[in-house]
Amino acid sequence: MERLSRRTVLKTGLGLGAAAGLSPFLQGCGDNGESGSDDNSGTPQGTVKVWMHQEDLFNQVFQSAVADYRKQFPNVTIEPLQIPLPQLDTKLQTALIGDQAPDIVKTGGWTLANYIRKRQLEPVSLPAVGAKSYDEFADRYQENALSSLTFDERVYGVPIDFNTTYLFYRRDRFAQAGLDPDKPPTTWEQVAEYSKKLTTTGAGGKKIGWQWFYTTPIWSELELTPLVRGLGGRILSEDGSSSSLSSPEGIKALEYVASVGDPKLSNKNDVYGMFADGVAAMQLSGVFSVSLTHSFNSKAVFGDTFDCAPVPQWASAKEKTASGYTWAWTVPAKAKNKFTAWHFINFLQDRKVTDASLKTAGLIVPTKDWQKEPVAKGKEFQILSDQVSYADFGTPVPAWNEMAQALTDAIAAVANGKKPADKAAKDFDDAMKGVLG
Amino acid sequence: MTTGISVRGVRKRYGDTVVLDDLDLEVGAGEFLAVVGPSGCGKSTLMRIVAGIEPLTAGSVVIGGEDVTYAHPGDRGIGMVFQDYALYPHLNVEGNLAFGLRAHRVDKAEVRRRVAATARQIGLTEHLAKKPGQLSGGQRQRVALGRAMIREPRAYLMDEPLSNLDAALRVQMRAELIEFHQRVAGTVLYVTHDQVEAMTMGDRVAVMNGGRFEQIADPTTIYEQPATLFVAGFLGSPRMNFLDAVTGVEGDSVRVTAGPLSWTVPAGQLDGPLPESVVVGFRPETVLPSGSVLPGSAAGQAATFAGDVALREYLGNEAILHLDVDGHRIVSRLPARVAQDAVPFAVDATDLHLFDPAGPALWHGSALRALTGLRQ
Amino acid sequence: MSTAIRVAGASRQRRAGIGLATPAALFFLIFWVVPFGYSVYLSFTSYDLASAPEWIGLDNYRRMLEAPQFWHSIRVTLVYVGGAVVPTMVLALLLAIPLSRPGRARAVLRSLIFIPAAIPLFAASMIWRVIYSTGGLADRIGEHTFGVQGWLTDPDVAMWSVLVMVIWKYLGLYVILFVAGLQALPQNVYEAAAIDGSRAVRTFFLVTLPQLKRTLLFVLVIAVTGAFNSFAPAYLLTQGGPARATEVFPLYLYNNAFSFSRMGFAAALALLLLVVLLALSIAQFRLIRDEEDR
Repeated sequence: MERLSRRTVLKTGLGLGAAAGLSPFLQGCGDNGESGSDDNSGTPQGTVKVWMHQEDLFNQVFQSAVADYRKQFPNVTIEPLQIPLPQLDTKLQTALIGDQAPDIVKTGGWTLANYIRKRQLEPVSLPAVGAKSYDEFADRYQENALSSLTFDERVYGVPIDFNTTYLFYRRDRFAQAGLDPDKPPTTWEQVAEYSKKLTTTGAGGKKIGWQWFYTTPIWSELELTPLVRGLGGRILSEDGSSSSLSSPEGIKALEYVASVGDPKLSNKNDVYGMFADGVAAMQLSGVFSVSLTHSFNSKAVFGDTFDCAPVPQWASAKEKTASGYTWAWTVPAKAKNKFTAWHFINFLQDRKVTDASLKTAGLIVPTKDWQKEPVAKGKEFQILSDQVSYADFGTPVPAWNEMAQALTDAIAAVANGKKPADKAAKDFDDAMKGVLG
Repeated sequence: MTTGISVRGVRKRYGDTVVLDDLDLEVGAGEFLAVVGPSGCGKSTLMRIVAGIEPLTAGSVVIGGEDVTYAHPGDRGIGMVFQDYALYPHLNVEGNLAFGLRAHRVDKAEVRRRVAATARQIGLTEHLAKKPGQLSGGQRQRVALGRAMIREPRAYLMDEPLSNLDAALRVQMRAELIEFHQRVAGTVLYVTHDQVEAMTMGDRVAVMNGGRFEQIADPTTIYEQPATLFVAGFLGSPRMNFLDAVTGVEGDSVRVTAGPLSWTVPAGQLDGPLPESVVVGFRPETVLPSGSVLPGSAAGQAATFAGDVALREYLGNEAILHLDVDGHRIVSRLPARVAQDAVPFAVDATDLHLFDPAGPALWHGSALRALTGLRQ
Repeated sequence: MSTAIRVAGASRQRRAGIGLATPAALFFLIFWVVPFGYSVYLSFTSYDLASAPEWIGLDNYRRMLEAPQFWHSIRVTLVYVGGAVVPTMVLALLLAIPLSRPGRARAVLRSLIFIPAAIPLFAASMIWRVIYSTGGLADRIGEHTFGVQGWLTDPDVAMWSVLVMVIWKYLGLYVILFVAGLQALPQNVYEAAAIDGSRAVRTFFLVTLPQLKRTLLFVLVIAVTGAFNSFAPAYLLTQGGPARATEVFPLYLYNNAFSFSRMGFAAALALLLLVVLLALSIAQFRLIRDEEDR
């Protein structure tokens, strides 16, 4: 419905280690993987049903890609179906139980673990994409870009709409508060300090510095992850079987969340709206905020009124960290035309299509050296490209929805002063005991 | 114990519609006054104004010498019996009887005592625990009466209390009400559209029409000397015969001629000169076979005529004859055994009523009776 | 001979009866009995919509009793039911008394007060989100008048904000029901009460309320069952937040079923809700029936 919730997203494991952690779920999945790709002779044909959420700009790119594909493979019919985002997951779950599965679905990376545990997704068909191995296939992408889509050494999806988080800040508000708009905060400590200076109560209502998302599960993970990881801790263990928010790092991160931002403020467009209106001077967001902010407030111009910068780090941090997420093209295990599905997905990875995605819709497909393309010149893309190598794309857990909801509860409780941070962290860990593993 | 009701200059308007037009009415202490009239004549509105549940436009209401025009209904010292009883459906008989006492914060023991006494009087001691829905129509009527009685009001208002009862029960309850009135000697303002009720129950009868009183008098006067055409036509069954007539002076007599019927009346017996056109009225029971006209009537004072019986209604004890007399329809009520198919009929001048065509009575033939001493 | 004819006729009648009843019976079986039975079965299983349901006996019910969120949602629901039903009914009755009298102005007011009930809940929720958001109408009034900020974002306030919308939304419906009930009461009973010396307040409690008992019970039944079933207002306005302050039972159930894929657990929750609602409805209708018997 709103562009924001569409993108609010993300999840994934860091490399193969995380994926290996999923193996308890994946025992016996081997058969599934083998059977996936040879459902026909290797000739694209038939009908491919594609489900994706509504996104008008990308739809233009997609339609023209379909037209190009059909020129080369006239035997194939592509039937796209646009589904409102809030319904996509439920509709897919229902379709996957019955016999109505589509051939291709645009799926949030953070939901993959759940589908894969249920053996409802098909790994990439190597013949269809013309690769000899998954490693060779992964080499076609920027390093770390497929990490959240790889389980048990198989790749289950191809990234589309790939994102890391950023610091977004209002240049105009910085200037008013006597801060240098060209020197955004680089540490969380600075964020807190600037936030104080940016908080004012005037005729136009209260204005604040930093603002968190307090009610959106995906953002709870995207925001808390860099805080906890930057201190050297983890929210979830690498294999996703346990949680450790109730650690000095987790507790400190929660306390930090409570120390800045104002959970009482609201806006019909959530934090994006507050930032667009200038009520909030800083927020964590994805690359889409460049256009989203402008769409909520035509007076807000990127590079002039507002800007973006890399995710802040703790002053004491030894390594950089950030958070990220991706959407992915996936193929259900019950799809009827799997080979052609993967073949078409592979076609969408063509440079011509990925450049158009970036240029027209601002969606990144992180194929190798994507950031060197002329269309990726923008500062926001270069920051993203830099952050990809160290970004945490989330730990894959099948019960992601429940985990993220509990994380949101913890943040809301601490920020509203309903619980001390250590109690909220412990409650989260307790709740996770019955959910993870 | 009870006191009178005075209605003075009461007027009621709904927008431009005048419902009650400057009414005056005195109900004496202990008097049973029946207000009768056709539907829509304003009689219920009058009663509701006296009760205080309908505001008036002008005038005043005095009960027991106290001006209660703007008093709350509960402070007027009245008891009211409604047409459909208006019992509290959710309360049992005891609760219905006691409701008004409790509203007036009467002491509990006293409430018990008076409920018991009233229940005895209305004969419902056995039914105190029943709800109205479990009672018969007559029993409900008695509860309504008991509820009005229990507070020992200064006056009773009864709004067509018998009209929801079937015929047999109505006769019985009518008797009970008359007896009740005699026992408590209460002032009763009684509204009805039923002339029999009004005539049998009322010490006096007020006939209402179009928001005005046509006549207020005792039943005999109302019947014998109706003040207007309306009163004459409204009371009595079958209805009074009316014929258009012309008058002419003949020496010291006045001749009244209505078609083939004609009477002479000594001019000295009239209150004054008659207009040329009048309406002559006589009741069906005064249309008698000519042979049976009471002896002693002055010659020429009875009109004799021949009529064809167009319709004959046989009622057992009597018969109603619809006579066609030269195109005029005249109704006669006779004892069944004297009714014949076609005889000469006669109507005595003492039974005549002359009316101005506009309504007011001009002369009643009964004036002649005093003269002849035949009847009083 | 005649007996034989009668027997043949009777059996033909019976066959016709069965034939006519079959479609309804099948409908009932397929769309009611089978799903209900399946829900009961699911409540004894662990089922994630993918693999086959796994029988776990009473585990779901045990887990339910042990889950703090379960008890939390019950508490939230009780507050919601009480906070939605009691003020709505009292307010509706207070408004219905003057509005039940005749008059053109009152008819117009009755229509006006019904408007919120006619607005789709989704649209109403959008309106109230704007009213409650920072800089919105409630926010501006609230900040200066009550010192309240964050109508939907403060966990201590959010539930009351939801309730205000719910009361606003359903008040008109109850007013109409009460007006209908009041107008059906015999008018002259009030006149009798006035002549008996009863003033407005006494008449209201001793004459109006007792006679309105059936309407009151009817409204109570639909209000309480509606409130217990109420999923949409909290879902649309706050999604159960902040910090699950508005996570009513049906929302807790929904989250378990569709967000967390715990269909077995959700089925157990649904059965519990069904039992509670059945018990409530039976109790309430028994009250009504007793009233009718009297």
